[in-house]
Amino acid sequence: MKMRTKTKTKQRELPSPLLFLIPILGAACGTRAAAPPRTSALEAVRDSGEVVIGIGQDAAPFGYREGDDLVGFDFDIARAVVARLEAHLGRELKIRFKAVTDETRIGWVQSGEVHMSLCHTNCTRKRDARIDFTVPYGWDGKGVLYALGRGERDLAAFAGATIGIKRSSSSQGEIEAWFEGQGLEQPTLKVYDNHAAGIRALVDGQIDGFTDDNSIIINTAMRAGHGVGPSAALNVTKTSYSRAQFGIGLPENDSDWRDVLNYSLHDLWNDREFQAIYERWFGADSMCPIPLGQNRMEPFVIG
Amino acid sequence: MSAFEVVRRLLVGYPVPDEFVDPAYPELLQRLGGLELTLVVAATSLLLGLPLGALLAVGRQGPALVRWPAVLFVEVVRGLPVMLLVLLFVHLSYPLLGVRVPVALLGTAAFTLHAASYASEIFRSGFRAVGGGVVDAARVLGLSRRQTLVHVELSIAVRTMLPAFLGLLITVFKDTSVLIVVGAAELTCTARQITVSQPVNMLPVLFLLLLMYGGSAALASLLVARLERRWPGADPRNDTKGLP
Repeated sequence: MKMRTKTKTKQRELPSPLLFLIPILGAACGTRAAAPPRTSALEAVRDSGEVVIGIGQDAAPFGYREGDDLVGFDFDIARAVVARLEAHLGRELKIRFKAVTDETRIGWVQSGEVHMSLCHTNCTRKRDARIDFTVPYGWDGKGVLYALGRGERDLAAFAGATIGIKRSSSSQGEIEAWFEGQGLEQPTLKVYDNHAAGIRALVDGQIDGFTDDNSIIINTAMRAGHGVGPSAALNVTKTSYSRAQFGIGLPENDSDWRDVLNYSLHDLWNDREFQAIYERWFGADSMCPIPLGQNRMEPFVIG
Repeated sequence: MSAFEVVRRLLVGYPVPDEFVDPAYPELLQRLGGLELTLVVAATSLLLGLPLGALLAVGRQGPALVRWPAVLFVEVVRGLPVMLLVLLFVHLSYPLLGVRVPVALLGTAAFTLHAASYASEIFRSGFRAVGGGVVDAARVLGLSRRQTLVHVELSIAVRTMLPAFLGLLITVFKDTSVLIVVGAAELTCTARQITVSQPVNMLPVLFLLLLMYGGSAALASLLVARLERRWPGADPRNDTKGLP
């Protein structure tokens, strides 16, 4: 015979901790309402005399450490754009850089923590739904870096292979779309925290290839002491599965700010200062030359 | 990059250019990097978090008006992964407060709350460890209320709490590595900067990280063990001291 004992325990139960999250999540979702009044970033910069710029530090040649110094294409463009902004606003501006990461480069633009963000950010539609971009100020292709040991290969040869990609890169969707479009077996994608770690894995033979913007993977590989090219240990596929266009990230729907930054970039282009900066980082003497060729800005007519 | 240079960078980080320093906040904190920043964030979080934790523990014994906010705070903060806490601080500080705060400060604030929530529970368990009979016995032996608190209750409570506090200290110290995701130049972030920017082998850098985190934690353990031995009544061997 089964004995059933029913014990009545009078217990004061605490509400689930998850319930306590409700006010926090409410606050988080309601930040738009609680946020400081949204004036144009242009007004904020003009009033404060300070422009806060989110900038990446972990990807050569855009932003990286050269010895003790922080240098790169994004740093030079940011400083040049601010110099033009000073001319547009008729006042001196102080630059304040804030280091951004994959987790903050978009979010900080949305929240207003930074007035603009330069972090080799590819202007994709998905990102454009969250923030706005200036006209592109950088262009690149996306191929796959691979070890030349088994001979030269092109993209199709990586069907079913294991390819490393960097976390938070837009490359994942783009490479999957390319293989699907070609009717080829999808590669297995393995995510790495940073480019250097992915290239290390490639050199160690853990993956068959590594991909992201060509300029970044080539620069990172070469700075790590690996030769890249048809007669070196590593090479990049001739075919790209996607193009990259880098834009300055701006708060959504801030037309005045976007206009003045676009005009600043146009002025740099018209005065050929942009081309001089571009040549320094992507010219024939750079680690990854990308001739301007058809990549160009189309400045509005002044008038 | 020489081995000496790698170690130096891991210890003190890279120089921070003036354009990254916000004059509205202490410059020193913004110029720190590497192990130095890790230690400062961890130490500050614990120095601020422990008193806050003590207040919370006391609050949990108080009237409902104080008890429930304290319970709410501890249950919420303790239930959140510290990474999420850091991300909340980093993404909500400007929209909610309208001021731009350096990430090292935001990280310290997040870790302070994290430490406080755990410390409050350690304090609670420490004081619960003091049995009512012990207090009664002390009073019967003629000790005043103050003497009972200092020489009996605190002595037993601290002895109980010390190992747990050591655990919290080490947890906070090593968990500061999550600040890498928001770009604070602490030890792990500096190691990544080195491996990303310099043609150095990643494994020796990781090994140095291991030594620095492990060595610092071991040092903390030794210091706490020493403190435990010196604490009145902390070492069971000391309990027999003075007895015939």
